[in-house]
Amino acid sequence: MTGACAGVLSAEEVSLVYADGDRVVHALSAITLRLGPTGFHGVIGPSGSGKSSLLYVLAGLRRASIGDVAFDGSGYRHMSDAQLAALRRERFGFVFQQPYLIGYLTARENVMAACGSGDVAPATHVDGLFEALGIAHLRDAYPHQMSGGERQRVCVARAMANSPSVIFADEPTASLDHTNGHAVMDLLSSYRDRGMVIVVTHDLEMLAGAERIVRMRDGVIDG
Amino acid sequence: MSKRLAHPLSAWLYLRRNPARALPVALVILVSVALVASVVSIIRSIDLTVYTMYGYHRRLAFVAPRNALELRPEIARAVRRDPLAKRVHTVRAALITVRTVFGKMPFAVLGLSPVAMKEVLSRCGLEVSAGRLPADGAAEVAVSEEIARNLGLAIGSVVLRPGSEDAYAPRPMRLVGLLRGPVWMAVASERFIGETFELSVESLLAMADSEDAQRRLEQSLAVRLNKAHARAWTFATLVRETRDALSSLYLIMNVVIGIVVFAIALLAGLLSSIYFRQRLPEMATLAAIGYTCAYLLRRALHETVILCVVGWAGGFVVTVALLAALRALVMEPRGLLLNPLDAGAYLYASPLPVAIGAFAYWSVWTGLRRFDPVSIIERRA
Repeated sequence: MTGACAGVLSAEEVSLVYADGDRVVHALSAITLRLGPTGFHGVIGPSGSGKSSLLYVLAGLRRASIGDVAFDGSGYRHMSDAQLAALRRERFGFVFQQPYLIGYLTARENVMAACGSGDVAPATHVDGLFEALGIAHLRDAYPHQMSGGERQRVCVARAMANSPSVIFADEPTASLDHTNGHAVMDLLSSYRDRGMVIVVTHDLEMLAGAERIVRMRDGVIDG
Repeated sequence: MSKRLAHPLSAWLYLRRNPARALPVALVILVSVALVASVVSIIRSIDLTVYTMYGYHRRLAFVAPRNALELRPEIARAVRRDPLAKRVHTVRAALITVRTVFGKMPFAVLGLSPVAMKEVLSRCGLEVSAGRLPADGAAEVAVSEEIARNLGLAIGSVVLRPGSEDAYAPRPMRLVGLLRGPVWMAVASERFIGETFELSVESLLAMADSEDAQRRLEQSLAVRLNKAHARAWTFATLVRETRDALSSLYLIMNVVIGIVVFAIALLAGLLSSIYFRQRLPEMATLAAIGYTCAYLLRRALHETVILCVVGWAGGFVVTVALLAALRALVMEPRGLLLNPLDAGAYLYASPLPVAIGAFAYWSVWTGLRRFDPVSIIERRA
């Protein structure tokens, strides 16, 4: 890792091709991108444009078919699955479209579950995060006791639990109403000074204030 | 102060908060352990019955003539001169039958002289708990309390009689005493049997100083006796014959238990597979946020091990309680034997949790091998 690469996420000529039944899907074609180390970035595009695929490849959840993605100057291609998992656990945070939380855990336990397989984050740290995100009242609630917006806010807390370098958010407001959607985006946006936030969305309004917006169309960057 | 909580992904927490998923598997293991251990305990009560009923063979060796009513003099001499045989007595036996879990079994009423009777009872650790010992030459019998319970006898009852198919004697023989001790025993007067029974076989009863010496005496008799003219009835022959007689039964039992273990393990494995599929979103989320498949597999294994241990322990407790109740309410009042803490029976049930755990682990492992968290997360989307 060099100093210039610290916290920087880069993609070099990345393509993603996969089989979907009998069909071969060219999800990404020769994407070259450099983001970070801080800031609030958006990826926007119509359905099927490859924006979610780009997010998954950048996050190490999918391996690029061609090209490579690097974080902190370390390419994913030469990392094992376990090393990629460790990178996701220690340096990245995730918010998905559906605010999925583990049903039998309280909000606080769900957040603590993201704090490492062999480690238990001090409860005070998690409680502080809940306070900061304005969801302290949800701390001991179970997912079925929360609204969709509340669950997604807990997901944001979970993404921030490890103080990650990058938070990846895939359509985090898609299942929420306008008010809750903005509230979640505000929470994510608030992290821009501590690390990088990359949000995939089809709603340009949600990216107000983004440092950079990457527009995707048919698997390529279109501006 | 920083307060630390239990890890939210601990197996215990999952099982505690998901009783609807944990209990069915634990219950399957519990019931199957109880089923296997109970059946095996009851079947093994046959051995227990044989070794208890005829347990006096541990302390007494009998040498009986073949095709004759008396031993040849040279054989009798050989027995009496064996250096390990510290006491040798003449014995004449009458037969009664006792009830067991597998039907009626013959039991010898040992006809002994008054001196021999006292020595034999003392050697076997028996004492008179009620009544008295049979008088020399009298039509009297003393039996162990267990035999009296088994046959529903009380002091004064007729034990052997002329018209009986199971306990024949030319003249009625009454119960005059009860014996208490570690082995079952029935004794009568040798003189009475010799004088009353038309055909009574005269055998020898040989006793060594200790159980260890008794075993060596048995081996010595087995080597020295001319088997064409005499036969030694020892504990070793009892064990061998019991095993031979029960070998087919145990073979059938092993096959049936093997099938039961396989079927139950398959069922539990399928349950685990269903539960695993229901938990795919949880697994996918954990995998996405950085937990490796190896970690998820270890976690599933930990949950399975806990369920197996809890299920087995529960099965053990339930089996002990069931068998203890069965023994107290059904078996003991009839003088039948059953050991609720038969370690061998629980050993038979031990492959169950192992097989169930292996099937469950295998089903989760195959699920995780084809696991793609992104496709699960996207499908939810």
